[in-house]
Amino acid sequence: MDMDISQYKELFISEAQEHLEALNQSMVDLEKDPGNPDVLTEIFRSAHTLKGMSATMGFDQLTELSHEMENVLDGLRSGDIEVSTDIVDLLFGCFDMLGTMVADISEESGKILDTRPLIEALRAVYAGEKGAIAGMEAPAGAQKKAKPKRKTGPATGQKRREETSEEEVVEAVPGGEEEEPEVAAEAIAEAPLEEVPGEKPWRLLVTLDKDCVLKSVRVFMIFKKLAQIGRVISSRPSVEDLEDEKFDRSFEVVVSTKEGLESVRKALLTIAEVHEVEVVSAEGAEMPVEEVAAGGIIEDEREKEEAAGDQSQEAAGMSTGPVRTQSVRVNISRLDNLMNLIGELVINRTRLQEIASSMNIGELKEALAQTARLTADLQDEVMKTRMVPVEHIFNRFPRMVRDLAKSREKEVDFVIEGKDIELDRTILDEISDPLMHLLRNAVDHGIDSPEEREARGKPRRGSIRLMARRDRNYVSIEVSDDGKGVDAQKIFDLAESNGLMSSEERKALSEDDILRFLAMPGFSSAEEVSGVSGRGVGLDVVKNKVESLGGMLIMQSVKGEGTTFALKLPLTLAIIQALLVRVRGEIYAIPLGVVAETAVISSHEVKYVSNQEVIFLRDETLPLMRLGRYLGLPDENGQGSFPVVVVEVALKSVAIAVDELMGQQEIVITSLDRFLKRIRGFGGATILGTGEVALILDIPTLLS
Amino acid sequence: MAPTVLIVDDALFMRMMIRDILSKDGFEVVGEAENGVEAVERFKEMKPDLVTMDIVMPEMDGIEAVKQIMKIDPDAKILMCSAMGQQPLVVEALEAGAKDFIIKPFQPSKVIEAVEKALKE
Repeated sequence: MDMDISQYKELFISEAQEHLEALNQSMVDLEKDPGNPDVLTEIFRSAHTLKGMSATMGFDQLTELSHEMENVLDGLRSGDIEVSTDIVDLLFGCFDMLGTMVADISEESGKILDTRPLIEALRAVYAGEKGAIAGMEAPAGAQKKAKPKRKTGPATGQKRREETSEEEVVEAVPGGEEEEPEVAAEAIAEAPLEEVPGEKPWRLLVTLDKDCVLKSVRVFMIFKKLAQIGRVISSRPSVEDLEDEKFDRSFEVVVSTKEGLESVRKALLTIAEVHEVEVVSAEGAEMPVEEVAAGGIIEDEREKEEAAGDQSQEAAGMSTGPVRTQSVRVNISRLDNLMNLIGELVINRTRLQEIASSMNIGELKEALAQTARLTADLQDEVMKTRMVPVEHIFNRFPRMVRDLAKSREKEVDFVIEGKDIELDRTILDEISDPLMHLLRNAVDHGIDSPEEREARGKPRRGSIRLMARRDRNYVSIEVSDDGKGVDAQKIFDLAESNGLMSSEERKALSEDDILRFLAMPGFSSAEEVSGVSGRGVGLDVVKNKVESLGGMLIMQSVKGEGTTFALKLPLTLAIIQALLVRVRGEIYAIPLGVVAETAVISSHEVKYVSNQEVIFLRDETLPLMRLGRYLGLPDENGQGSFPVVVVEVALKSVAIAVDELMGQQEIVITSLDRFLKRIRGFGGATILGTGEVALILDIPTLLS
Repeated sequence: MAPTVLIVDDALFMRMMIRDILSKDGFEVVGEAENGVEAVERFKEMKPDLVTMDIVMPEMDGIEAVKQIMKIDPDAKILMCSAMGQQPLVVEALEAGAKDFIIKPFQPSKVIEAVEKALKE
């Protein structure tokens, strides 16, 4: 192939992933409603498109697997194969394999995967179906309701031929007599060529391109073209063999026509992949007649047109709907850049406004007010552009929940609501794993076994709901189950017996505090919470992630009735509220989401507890972290009092000592270059109104 | 003036590819559509010299779209894009009035040959 394929790789990967997601989604739907033709068509189409794309990119393994899959899917669609759990599992297995392949392509790992077992399984399913059908039809010998098999191309043509009416023969053979279809062949063959005055027979040798694919269709096109200008008398090899592609590159055909030789040649050469047309002789009749072609291949145009008419009326009705919106696919980094540029624009505007007011130029102020409005609109628009519906990640979950429930022998109905709620792309990508954790926990620990449920008088099938909802400036995503719920007292008992808290502390706790324990790093995994709940698995990770995004994790649980986790997330990450602080002359920004309070501490209030500086703030002991020292800045000699920022992350409160509190401000986050990304403790940078650059502290990593 | 082309395929990836092949060879791609319904709409709006048409698509498949476009303009020049193993569908499309077909994976030379031949007709 004389073109550079690699430039399409990125696009290929993202589109292939979309198709795989759609496949997984539809397959879950199919399992719920086996035999739904719409879903089957959907699945077939996705698999088919994937195959075409992979073939184009030259990913042979992908192409092969999706091709075999397509065969089975086609069988399902036509009803030749019945939807069964085994087949669904097999297809899911294929989707996973395809997903791995696509991932490998994107990582350029160059791994060779073993697709044989899957392909053989697919072939077995397909062959089984064929055998079954053959076995059914053979003894009956009757023509069953025709089940069109896309696979066998020429056979379809054959079927059509049997169905054709008299009219078509008349049409196909200009000036010919009316004949029964069965005898049409003989009639044409035996008809003396002179019967049509002015026609001359030509024997042509037609040669196709060396790498011609779908030769049978080319033959069809050639015969069709010949029928337009004359009539086909015979061919060698026979039409059937030609249709079955039982020829190499060339075949002979005898055509009777009024046209001159050159125009016949030209007509055929307008068909792509026709390499050459040569005249063997002008006396076609001498050639042994193998079969007559024209009547067979050319269909009844009239009938076709009628059919087309009906269908197109239906379709015309469809097309009167609203015009679909056009969309453009843009790399997310472009949008990030755009956002950054707007951020800088805002900064410059602020500076201009400062200048305008200091020089007191009224007209400039007015113009700037206009600019301010425009930049705000611009910012708004770009923010909207970055928003994607949550369904982007939600669609992966049904499959996961299904598989997990199956392996845990639980019966679960999974419901998704609010798919079209939108979130910033970056946030959405980040919460995919936390949501997966929560859903996994819900299946694993939340939902009780069918037997337990029945014993408690609940329906056998549990239900898990994933719901997204827009709350003013937040998006709330909830994962709820109707399972066991969390037994708070048991958790507290456990925490107490493990020495995580004293009995006095325990008395002060309410059930609302339960999440704090569950979300303690390694709470359950370290202690083997058998029989209680084990809800802590990964919850600390979830909580940290949500908080680092500027959101909140909330849990509600009623023992025996179920548990709900809610993630409250900001709409966008690009612009946040931050507290600006100064340390040794440098400005740093602390996201306001983690800031609990600020205070001023005098140095004599700093105490030592096991070699660690701490301060006491309203009866609470807080570790003190001197930001300057942490960042490796020169120590300040100055004693006296200094401000602290109390931050709270993952239930840990820490007081961060700084030199100066500068105030709260909206900042535009610019992410750090990949060379700087590895430096822990910083979440990005921002440009301030003065043009100075401030680093944004990433508190969770700073404290861990 | 460069011949105008409308590209119809449900995969963006495929559309990009055909667009690149054709525009490199001096054709003007005037529009894209991702299903048959859209294809018919775009065809009415743009009256392109040539349409490349995928077969398997959502909403309305390529064959149906060919039929409708041929009703709008019997002289329309449509080139089918097909994957291997779809002979009957290609034949159906050709019967419906498509001029020719190309097979995925696309080879630029073949695409150009088919397009040029279809336009010449």
